[in-house]
Amino acid sequence: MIKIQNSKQFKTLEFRISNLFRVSIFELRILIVCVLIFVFYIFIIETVNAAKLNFVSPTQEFAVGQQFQVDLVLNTENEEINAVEGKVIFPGELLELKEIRDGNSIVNFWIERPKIEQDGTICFSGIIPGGYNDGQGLILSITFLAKKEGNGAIKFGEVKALRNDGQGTEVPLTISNFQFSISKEVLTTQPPVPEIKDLEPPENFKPEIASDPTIFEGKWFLVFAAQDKGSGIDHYEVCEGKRKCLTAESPYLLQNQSLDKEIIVKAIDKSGNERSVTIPARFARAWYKDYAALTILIIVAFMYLIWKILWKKRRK
Amino acid sequence: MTAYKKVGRLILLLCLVCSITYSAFSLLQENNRLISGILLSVKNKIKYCIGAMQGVVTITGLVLGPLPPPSPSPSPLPLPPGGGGGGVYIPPPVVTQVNFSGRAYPKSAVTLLKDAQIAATTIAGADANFQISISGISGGNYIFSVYAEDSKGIRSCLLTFPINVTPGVTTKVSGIFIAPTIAVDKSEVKRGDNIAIFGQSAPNSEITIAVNSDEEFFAKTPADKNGVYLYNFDTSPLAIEQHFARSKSAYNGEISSWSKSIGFLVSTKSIPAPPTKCPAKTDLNNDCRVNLVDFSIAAYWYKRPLSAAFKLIEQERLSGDAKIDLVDFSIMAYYWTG
Repeated sequence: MIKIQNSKQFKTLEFRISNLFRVSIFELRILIVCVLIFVFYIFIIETVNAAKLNFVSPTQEFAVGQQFQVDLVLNTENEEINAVEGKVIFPGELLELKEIRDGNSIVNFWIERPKIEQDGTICFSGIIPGGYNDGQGLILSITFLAKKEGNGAIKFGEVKALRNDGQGTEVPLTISNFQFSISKEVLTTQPPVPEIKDLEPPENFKPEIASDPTIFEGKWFLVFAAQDKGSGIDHYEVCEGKRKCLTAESPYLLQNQSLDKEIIVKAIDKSGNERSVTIPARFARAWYKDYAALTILIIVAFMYLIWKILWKKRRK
Repeated sequence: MTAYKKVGRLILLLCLVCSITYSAFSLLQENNRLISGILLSVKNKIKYCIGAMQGVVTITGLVLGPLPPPSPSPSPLPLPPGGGGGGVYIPPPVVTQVNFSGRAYPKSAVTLLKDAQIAATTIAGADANFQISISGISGGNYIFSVYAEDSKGIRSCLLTFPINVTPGVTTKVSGIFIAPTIAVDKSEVKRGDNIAIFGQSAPNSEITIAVNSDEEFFAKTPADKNGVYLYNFDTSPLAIEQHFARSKSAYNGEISSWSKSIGFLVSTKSIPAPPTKCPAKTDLNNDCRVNLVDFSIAAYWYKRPLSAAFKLIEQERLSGDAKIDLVDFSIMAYYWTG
């Protein structure tokens, strides 16, 4: 009953308004719908202040056999963002991945360093302590080779950006896929892939030895992170004492848990430049473990014994 | 039907068609920007409402980050001398340097982070002014951050500057104004009692304190000659729930960014809380710092099932969702000290 009454009242109101503005009820309803759409746009959509993640490239037309570079750039749109992750999906039948560069990235620490995961997917995940708030934040650069003719798109997948608010609040993100076309010949001049002449070693860094009961069963491990503003870090190597240097990732479980030998950590960039940092032995080696000194002591003692025996014989 | 009515009807129909077409076009063109944006807004609003119902109100601050830094002013190397006269010109060595200067707290330790790792430290003067430099770096994009520790060892929030360093150029970043530190004397306060909000900033500056509630309360208090400020806030107008306080400083026409937020609960009893200089969260190894070691511990558990021991740590010091994901690392990035 109440619903019927309300419906009647509504119809009466409609009738009154349509009379007031001298329009039919049908026209009035169209007007109301337009106003609602307008309000929806202005007050709800426009309040969504979205950061933007875009692919940036000088051109979208390439020739078969051409290499080109695409940059992932973050525009925070006045948001302060301290974490970003996502996937880059590209058509493997049209493009071949040649190189991923993360040198000069705004990401200070990679949770997952950008790498190819499966055919056509590049994953990345990292943080920017203190937050980043600017319009041209380079996340990473990808170099592709155009394999054959066709049209395609390089797309984002599962992208997320988090606000620097201590709670990991997700920031609305606008993403734009990268449409491209590959043909036999392209009329316009194609810019070459910028060549990085990286002669500088990675930046100086400070590895740390730590232990924690929750990982590696409380054993000593090594943490390290270097930056390279040229070609980016390729890999790290850890050399413990005279042991063979091993390729390592942070955190690295130390083989020598006595910490009585120096440790050398090498950061090698993609151009082969190397930065080595030495951590001195934390604890002095027990005297009986100093094999060199022990060997010399034994030889000296042996030689003294021989000399003593010969001297006695000579005296006799 | 009159011509007038026909035209009117046509215009209305046109408006409707344009609105629907534009909406559909935007949806297709911008790859779910609208939908994801709306969903996220709704999700965040729901989170806010749930939090409010549980007595935890989340602040989404007006300005959480630093003020836009003054434009760095590169000073190029001097030109070689012109003219003749013989002799050999030896160009000066190429120096790439970045200089930071600004205001912290009197005699405070100021730390400079380069790409989130400690690069340099200095002690501010009695007037709270500081200068700190870093040299011998390559050209490229860097994220520099500064923070200060007050006389009680409490650290300020990070003030971050993304800078593109040019090789051979000295870049100067001046006019930095580090946000005040903030602490409270009670973790829980009986409604109607006072709660002391205190900290340190530049000497003789004016401190603005904001306490959130359904409406935000503002108070002003001066800092003394040592930069110390103290304000006794009357909790009578506050609801019985969790609240957050933050502060900012103004001196000689300059205004700092907002400080970290510090929480306290308004209830039926008071519990004192001595100020702690250690980060409130994400210090996984209890060394009073949040740095690469904590990051590495969390990274070890990334996408792995957590051990029973680490679950407790995750519950207490990270997001508390029993897994390590991007949200935990984001929280860690907020509390970062280097």
